[in-house]
Amino acid sequence: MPRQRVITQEKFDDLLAWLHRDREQAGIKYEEIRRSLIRILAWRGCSDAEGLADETINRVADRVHELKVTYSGDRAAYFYGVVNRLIKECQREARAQVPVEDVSGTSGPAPEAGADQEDDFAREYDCLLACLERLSPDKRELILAYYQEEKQAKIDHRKELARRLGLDANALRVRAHRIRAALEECIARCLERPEADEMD
Amino acid sequence: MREVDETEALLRRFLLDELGEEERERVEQLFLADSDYREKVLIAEDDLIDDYLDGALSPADSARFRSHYLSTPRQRRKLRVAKSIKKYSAARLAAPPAGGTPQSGAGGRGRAAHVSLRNPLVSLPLAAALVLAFGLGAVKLIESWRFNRRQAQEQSRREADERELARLNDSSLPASGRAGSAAFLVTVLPVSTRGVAAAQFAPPRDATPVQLLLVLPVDEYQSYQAELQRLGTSEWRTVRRLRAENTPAGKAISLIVPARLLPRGDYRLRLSGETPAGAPEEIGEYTFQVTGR
Repeated sequence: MPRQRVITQEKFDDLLAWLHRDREQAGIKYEEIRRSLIRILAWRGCSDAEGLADETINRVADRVHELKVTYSGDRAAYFYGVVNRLIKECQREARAQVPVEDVSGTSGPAPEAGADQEDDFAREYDCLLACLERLSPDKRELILAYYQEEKQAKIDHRKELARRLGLDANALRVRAHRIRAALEECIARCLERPEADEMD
Repeated sequence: MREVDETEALLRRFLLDELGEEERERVEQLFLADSDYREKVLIAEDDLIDDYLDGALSPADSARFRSHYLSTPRQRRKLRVAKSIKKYSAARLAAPPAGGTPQSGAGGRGRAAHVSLRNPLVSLPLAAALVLAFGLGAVKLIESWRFNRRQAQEQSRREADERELARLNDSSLPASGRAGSAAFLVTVLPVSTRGVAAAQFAPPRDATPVQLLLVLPVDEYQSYQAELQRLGTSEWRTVRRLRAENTPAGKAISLIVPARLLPRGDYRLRLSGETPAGAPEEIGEYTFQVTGR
């Protein structure tokens, strides 16, 4: 599948203007859509989820000029149409190029743990420690307490934690999820830095 | 296994790729368009990962999780991160205090109720076990309290440092309200600049702050963020909303740092441009050495 070049500033500005009148809101919407596209692509088994999300955005940006005139529906729905077509193209190409049982680029079971994976794990753990340190004490305490225990003990423990914090079980889940999402984002940023640039 | 309601059950099937095309597309469309729904899916994903790690999935779901969900590097990393959080949590805040969450089931409690506490063969070991459990629980409580207190103190010190940095670098304040002309000036070039060795300096022994002039590789942002780390530590100090200035060395960011935050050592400074949405985009790195005071 031919990948497009980097989006021009002019097209990017047009895309933001199409997403929202207010540039700041448009920026937030853009980030939301990009993150969501990456998640959808990963769930569909696309290894290069970030690259394909950017390709989706580039394709929409290419058409924004006419969309401004012809399209009046939900912007996110338009992106969905484009990413869905892209996933199908991807899957067709993968099927045409490699045997079905070896479509390693798009799907396949998790590989066996090897030395590289152990290194990744150690590095991620270091990043986790650094990112935990950046959390406020109450958030850090909550997330660590939330992930104590397993199975039935975990359920009892979370009920008790929710009671102590004056929350219902669902509000506690939402709060824990948001902290975990922030941690994951921090860890992803930490891992993007070169290895020599470790945090300590 | 945790009880899951109808939506959660649907989302779990979605995440395990067990939905038909139409249902899957409906979930994906809602995920893109509706932020509340998006959060529900992401929470369902967290729960699925946790249940997998706890061994709480059925054998079929476990197999499906491994063959489908773990098929991309991004999702394998998500699993590793969840595993690390649990591992860290177990190591630092291991057990509930004595007398906390009961671990035995109803059957266990029922049987215990038939054993007479008047029998010394039962009551003495039981009393000893209770004293021991209470003692261990108390020690763990104290350790946990000390750890939390130390963390809170460190956090509050970090916050105080960052407040001071923000005040010293607040471009809306007049220079006299910040460090003014009394700062000790050091020009620092990005590490990518060829043939330039890392800056070395010894700040003055008095309380004069240090003004780092960070020469910009590019000036494409309205504001910048600087993150400073002393090598060999895991602590970063972050200063946001810095503005570029014209200086004799070219466009540069002026970062004023109290001298007490610069003890002898090697430093790394990461500079990022702030996008309109407030997200940082890394643009350069600087290193320097403080040789003494």
